[in-house]
Amino acid sequence: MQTPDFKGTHLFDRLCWAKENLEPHQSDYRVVFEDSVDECAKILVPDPNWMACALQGGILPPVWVYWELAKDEAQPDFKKHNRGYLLHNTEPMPAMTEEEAIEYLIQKDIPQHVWQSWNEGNKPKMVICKKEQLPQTREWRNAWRISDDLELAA
Amino acid sequence: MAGKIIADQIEHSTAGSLDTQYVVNGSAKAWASIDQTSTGHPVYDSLNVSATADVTAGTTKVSFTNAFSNANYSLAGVGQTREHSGANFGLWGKSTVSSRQMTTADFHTRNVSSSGVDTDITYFGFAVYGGLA
Repeated sequence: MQTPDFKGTHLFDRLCWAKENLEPHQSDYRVVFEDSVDECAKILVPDPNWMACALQGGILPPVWVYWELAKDEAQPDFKKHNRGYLLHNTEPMPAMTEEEAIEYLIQKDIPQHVWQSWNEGNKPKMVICKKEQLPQTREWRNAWRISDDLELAA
Repeated sequence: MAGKIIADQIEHSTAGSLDTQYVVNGSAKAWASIDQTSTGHPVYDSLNVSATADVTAGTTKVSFTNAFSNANYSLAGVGQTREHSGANFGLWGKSTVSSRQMTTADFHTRNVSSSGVDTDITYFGFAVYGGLA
C-alpha cells in the first residue's frame, strides 16, 4: 500500500491512518540496557503498530525531532511545547529495515547517556538481542543485569 | 487527507448540538493494553505508542510517538485482578524518582498488589487524555 503524502499532516492523523491500514509487526528484537548502576537491567520492546509505520515509511518524523523536543522540555522554565510543528511538518522518514528501525528507536526511547557510550566502561550498557535469548520466566526479575562475560557479535 | 470535514458544531435532529472541540479535546490521544508477565512488557494493542520498556516488576515505561504538549495529561486505566488479587494499576507520576517522572514523551506505570508490593499484571489497559504537541 502506498503511503499518502503526509508532509504537513499532523502526526496523530498519520498514526490513525496507519492503525487502519497497516498490519502490526511484532519484532523479535529486544534491547536490554542499564541506565543506572543502582537499578536492574531494562528491556525495550518496539510497539508493533509503531514498527509497521517504520517499515512502511513516510509516516514517522526523523529522530532528531524528538531530541529537539526533549531539549525544550529540559529547560527549567518549560511549560509546554511550542515546537510541536517539528513532528508534523518535517519531511517524514523513508521506509526503514527492521534493524534500522531498532536503531532509530534506541535513539528515541533509551536515554542518550546509554546509547552514546554503550560500549565504554567495564561491560556493555546496552545489548540488542532476540526475544528467545532472554530469560523465559520472571524469576528474580528485579536482580537482572547484563552479564559481565557477555560475548558480543561483530 | 481525503474526506476532510471542517465544522465547529454538529447537531442532532432532536437531541441538540455539540461543539466539535469537545470531541477533539475529549478523545483519548493514546491507549494501550499491556502484558507485564512477558519479558519486555509487550503491548497487546495500542495507539500512539512507540515502545514499552520492562523496567522492573510492575513498572513499564510507555513512550509516545506523538508527544503531549505538556506533562499534565490524564490517564484512566485498569488492571486485571483475577490472577493477582488486589492488583492495582498505578503510576510513577510527579515529584518522584527523576528518571520515572511523567514527561511529555513517556510515563512509567507502578502496578502494586493490595499489600503494596510491586506486581506484574497479566493484563492492564489505559487511555491518555490531553493536548498533543
